Amino acid sequence: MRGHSHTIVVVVAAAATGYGWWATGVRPFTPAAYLAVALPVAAVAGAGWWWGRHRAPGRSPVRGLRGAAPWLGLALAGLGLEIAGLALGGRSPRVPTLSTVVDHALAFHATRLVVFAAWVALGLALLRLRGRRRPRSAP
Amino acid sequence: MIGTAAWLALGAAALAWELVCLLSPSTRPGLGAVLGALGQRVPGWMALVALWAFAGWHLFARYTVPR
Repeated sequence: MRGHSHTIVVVVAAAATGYGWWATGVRPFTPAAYLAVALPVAAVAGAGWWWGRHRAPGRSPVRGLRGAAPWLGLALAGLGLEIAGLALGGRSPRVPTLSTVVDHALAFHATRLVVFAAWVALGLALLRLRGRRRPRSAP
Repeated sequence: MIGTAAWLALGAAALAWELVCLLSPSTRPGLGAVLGALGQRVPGWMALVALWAFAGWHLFARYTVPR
């Protein structure tokens, strides 16, 4: 039984790597490039919607955003840099936007595949968040 | 150049803060905990998925290799 599930993991990993290699190899701004991104997005959104309807009932756990101020500060700093970069034309060598910085890493197929894998992993984490069983409230 | 350094500094600061949070997760929530709290409700989850989809669309369908 364990060997069977191991085989499934290997097959799924190989298929995901193959898909990632294809998705990061198509030319940008083409229908294939948009489709390569749309398929994982549709899978995550669809599965999240389904899981949200079928997960166990109960009250959502109370977990606030206390202590999130440093993250908010970092996000605002990033937003400020992005706005400054866009105000300077988007491709300023002095203050580039985040995507201009990231584009240097995306110049190589292998790094695109790594970034794509990280992006898919983030989508799966979002899905896990949606599918998490909510604890029942105390009677 | 200065902007690239600022982006790298921002990334390093985020990584450093995440490490600090890992040392005391009960008092300092890491990025995962903050996003998890945001995604508890349907609107928050939909906003996170939209942000994730935009990142994928921008990074993999509309990137421009610099010359």
